[in-house]
Amino acid sequence: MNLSYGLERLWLWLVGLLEKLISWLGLPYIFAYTLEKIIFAVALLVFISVSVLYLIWLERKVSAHMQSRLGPMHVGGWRGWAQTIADMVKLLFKEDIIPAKADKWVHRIAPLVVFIPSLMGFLVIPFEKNLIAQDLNAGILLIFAFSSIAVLAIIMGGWASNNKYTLLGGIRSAAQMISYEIPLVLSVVSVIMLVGSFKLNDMVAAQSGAGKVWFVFTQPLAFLLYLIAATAEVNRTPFDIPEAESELVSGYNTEYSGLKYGFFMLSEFTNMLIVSLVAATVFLGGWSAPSWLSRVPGIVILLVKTYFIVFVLMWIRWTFPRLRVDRLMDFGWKILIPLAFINIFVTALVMAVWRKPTKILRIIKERLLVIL
Amino acid sequence: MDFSFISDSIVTYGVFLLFAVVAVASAFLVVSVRSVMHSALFLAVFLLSVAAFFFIFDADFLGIVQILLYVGGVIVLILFAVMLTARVSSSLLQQTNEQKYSALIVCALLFIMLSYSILISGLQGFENTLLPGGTAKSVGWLLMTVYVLPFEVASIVLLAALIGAMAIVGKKDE
Amino acid sequence: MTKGFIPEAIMQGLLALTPEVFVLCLAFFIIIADLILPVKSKRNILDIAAVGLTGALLLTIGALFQQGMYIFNNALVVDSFARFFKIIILVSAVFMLLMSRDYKALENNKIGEYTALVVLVTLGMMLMAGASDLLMLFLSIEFVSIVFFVLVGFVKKDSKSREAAVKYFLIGAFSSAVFVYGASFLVGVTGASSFPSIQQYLIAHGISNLFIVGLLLMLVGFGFKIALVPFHMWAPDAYEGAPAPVTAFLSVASKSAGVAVLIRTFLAILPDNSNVNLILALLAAITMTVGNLVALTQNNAKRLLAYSGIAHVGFIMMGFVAYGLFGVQSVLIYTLAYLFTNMGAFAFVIAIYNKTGSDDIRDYGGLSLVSPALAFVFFVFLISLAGVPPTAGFLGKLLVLGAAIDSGYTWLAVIGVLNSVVSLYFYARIAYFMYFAKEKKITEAIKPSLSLNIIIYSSLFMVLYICLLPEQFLNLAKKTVQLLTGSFHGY
Repeated sequence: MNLSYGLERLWLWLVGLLEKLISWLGLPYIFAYTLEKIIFAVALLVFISVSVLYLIWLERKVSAHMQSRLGPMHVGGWRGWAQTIADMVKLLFKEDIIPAKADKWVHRIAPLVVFIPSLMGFLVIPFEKNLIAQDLNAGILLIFAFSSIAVLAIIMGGWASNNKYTLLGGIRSAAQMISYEIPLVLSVVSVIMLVGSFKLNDMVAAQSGAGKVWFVFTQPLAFLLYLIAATAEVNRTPFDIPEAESELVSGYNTEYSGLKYGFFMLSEFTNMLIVSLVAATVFLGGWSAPSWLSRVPGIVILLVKTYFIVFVLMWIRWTFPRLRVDRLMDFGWKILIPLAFINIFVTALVMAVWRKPTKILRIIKERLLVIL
Repeated sequence: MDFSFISDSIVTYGVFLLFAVVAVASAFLVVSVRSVMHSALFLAVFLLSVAAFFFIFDADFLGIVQILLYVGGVIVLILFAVMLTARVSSSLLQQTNEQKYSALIVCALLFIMLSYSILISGLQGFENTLLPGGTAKSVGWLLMTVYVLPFEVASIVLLAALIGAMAIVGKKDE
Repeated sequence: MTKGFIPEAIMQGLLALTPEVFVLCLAFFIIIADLILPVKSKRNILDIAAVGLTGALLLTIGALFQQGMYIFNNALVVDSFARFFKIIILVSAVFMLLMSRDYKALENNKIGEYTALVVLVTLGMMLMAGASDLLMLFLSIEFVSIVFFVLVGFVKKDSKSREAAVKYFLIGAFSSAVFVYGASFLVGVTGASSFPSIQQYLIAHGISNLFIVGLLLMLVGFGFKIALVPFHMWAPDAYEGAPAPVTAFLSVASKSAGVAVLIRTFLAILPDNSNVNLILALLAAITMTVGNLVALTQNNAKRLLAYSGIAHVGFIMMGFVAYGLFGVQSVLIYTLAYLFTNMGAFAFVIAIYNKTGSDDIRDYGGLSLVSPALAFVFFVFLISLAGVPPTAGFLGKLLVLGAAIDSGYTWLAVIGVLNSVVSLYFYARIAYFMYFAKEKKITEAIKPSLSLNIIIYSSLFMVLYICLLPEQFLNLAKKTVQLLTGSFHGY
């Protein structure tokens, strides 16, 4: 595939320039490498912060319109676009309260622990073919691995606040996230089997080009399972047991205020962004597009797909009621996980037959003859 | 200025040392900190730095599995258990008994013996062969060929553990 | 490259593992049977398992002297040495299931899990007996330990059982950590995990200090499994708290499997034993002395048998210290004798417990009056434990002492003889209560159930048979040791 019109070209040009500069200065390559990564990370950070701010605004608008309300309308002018910025500024200046009997250090660290892992996931997402921070071999696993650290932070926050509601929220979230991480990973396994690689770029490649279709069509069940498990993984309704406001005040982050609360909130939306990005990349073809759209930058295509998933998640949130705790567990263990296993099994079977149809048939015939 | 001394290997070595210090310090804190919750959290830090070792030595798959299983699974389960046992989480338990000094002497002797024999043994590293298709593929290949029996037995062990767990906690109706 | 679905090498390995595969299928069958059978007839699951394991036993006996080989890329070795221990494990598993049938403390609705765990742990021990790769070794040892943690604490209502399980678990977890640490040194030094590769490395490069340190750390793991002093702390509590059939199983099968891996590891890895033998000899001496001396004051039958079991491990270690052909042979005979003697003794403990609800030996008074024949049979098992002729225990002790003297460990043999004398006292103490106690606690005749009777009389038969007609068994042991695959000595 030739270089698209996207950001990719700009980035590769920048990288080339940087490397020339470094070698002209007589410095080893590692400097250029480090600088590249730092620039990319900063750009990524800016992208994440801006999109998360707008995700929050979007969530409020979507929810409002679903309930025939208007949502934020005044701040900034057009449709209240500056509402979340104002909110964030407010959070910055709020008093930071730590409960008297809290475990102070754990209480302080928890917001960071929740935020940093959710950023790490972005390292392996290809925004375009070469627009990726680090194309690791085990790419998609890295995302799941770091998203599993978020549980730790929620437990830390819930426990350190020394409040029974936060503790309950923490326990619930631990149980929920452990349970739903399994179907989440398993649902992607069938795609990994089809692609034969953990690299997200390979997954995109397997869905783009002539005669290839998105995995959402070949693996519909996996997509559905992923979507459900991902909703639970980011603690959104109907799986928002950890922060069910009618039962647990606000869940694990009840005792947080100011900037720390902001971190929890940001990380929630960051997580939503990343599960949507993964869904778009793994199941909807990522940055690739049909040939008639080849003039559109890949990153735009990826973001359109991502925001579609984001919208679906919001839609689900504002239409479904919350599940009861035990139903939630039952659903995860007794329905999602067996379905995921069945999906893997069927995929493997189809792959085996697809690859060597004649051989398999011959073996079956031989076995049957032996038995008869 | 001459920067040519900075190479990949020096940077790797520096990062390795950094994480080694973090690993040892957090491992020490796991056993010396008084609150069980903090112990578990430092254990998470330790496991994460072990994962960092894997990343440093190009075994990214193992590093990720380390995070996924140990930090995301084991530590969360430990924390879960800590939270459910109110006494342990709310009060500071006494962690040592009157034998702590004799235990310290034994540990010190053991430490000296081990470090002595490690130092004189002149352990040599093994050849670092980059595996085709990355570690994930090679690990998978090995699991299904060379180590197929341990791999399958491990699944039977898990089955047994599952039945055992059910036998311990399960309440069956008469 | 492959023909059919299963590659040739794996097929060959599976064929060599027929008994194990059979046991695994049995375990699955039991899990399914547990789902189907109504609660009332759940005890039948124990019978199914016993019959199935007897089938596996016959399969193993049939293949006993087949040529040994490494399978699954050296992960396992199947040779007659491994099969010999598998037979011991399977026999004790069958006996254990028969004992459980009448053990009152077991609830009917938990029988399914219980039986499945017993069958699975039998599989684990069978794998342990053949493990020839550090990975497989650790995996199988953990397998067995994990299931036994559950089995020891199986009677949840009994606080002693729970306490025993927790103690066993804590010490077990710690010792496996030390074991893995030691094994990591072995891998670090040699760069290999299977015994043949480690052996090759040692032939080429010699033994380093670190290797010995690693091996000694691994010995901690083995020591825990076979209750070697000073790693025996868990044994008395676990034995006392666990349900009696589990105790019997733990003391015979788990110990034999531990002995098997211990011997296999040292024989297959070390070219000669000069580096570690003094340590092993000292451990043997300490183990028997501590076991016997502490047993002197015990009143609980299970606890007493625990300490006596520790002492017996000392004797087994003595045969192992002798190392050569004769040494290993004596260990085999000793283990065989210990199997039948201990199982018989435990069958009595259970029979009496079922009647009186007590494990205290002071409550055994009057047994000789109400059921003299049974009391005499019990007496025979006791003197076999003590090593008095004409019983199997005597033959075992004789061979072990002979092996020790043969390879120059006369001092160890002397300690062994002294220990036998000490042990006579506490075994005789049980006999004293049975025959001469003033308080006659047992007033009705003890009628062991059919399954217990099977155990008691078949054990009695074997105990006498092994001692009176030892030639067959000596030949069997000799042949077994000759077919020991992969040892340095090549016998």
